[in-house]
Amino acid sequence: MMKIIGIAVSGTIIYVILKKNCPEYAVLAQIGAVIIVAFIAYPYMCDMLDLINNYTVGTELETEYFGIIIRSLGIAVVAQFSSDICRDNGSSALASQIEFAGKIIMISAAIPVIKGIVELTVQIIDKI
Amino acid sequence: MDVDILFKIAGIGIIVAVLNQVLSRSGKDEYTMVTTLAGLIIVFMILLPHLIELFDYIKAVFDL
Repeated sequence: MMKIIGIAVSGTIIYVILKKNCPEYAVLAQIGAVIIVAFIAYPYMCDMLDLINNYTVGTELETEYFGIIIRSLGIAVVAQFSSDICRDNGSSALASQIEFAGKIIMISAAIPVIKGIVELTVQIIDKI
Repeated sequence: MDVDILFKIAGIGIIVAVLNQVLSRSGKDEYTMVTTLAGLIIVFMILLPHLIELFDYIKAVFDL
């Protein structure tokens, strides 16, 4: 954890230094810092997902829905940090576009879940 | 993960800034754009493989 904090703080300082002298490189330094922190932090996520996967295998829940949850989580993570990078460097229009595209892709990934819910409600209504 | 990409980018940025100052002082203002672009290309060459690696890693973790 300390490593992440150290890298983030030094990345911010480098970002500020470069912002004053040559703004183009500030963006690239920020992306570099994001890449390094991501590479340190994401392996912990990998173990967590494997753990949850092992648990869902035992139960009779369909693992397909769980896959969709993980996929939408990944989309959210990527959309979040890229839109924040764009917003930090002044192009908030692009940032909102990225967020909107992330939402659309997430909903399109979740279509099987919606289909399942609709079928379930139809069955329930038939039984009443 | 190697932290030196961050410091490489910072170094190149500062060198290009100094170069631009030197060039603009010595009257050759048209070369500042060229040096900035050259620096950008170098930084992109350093950064892009890591970005590709990160996106492949995210694809693997979240099986996108």
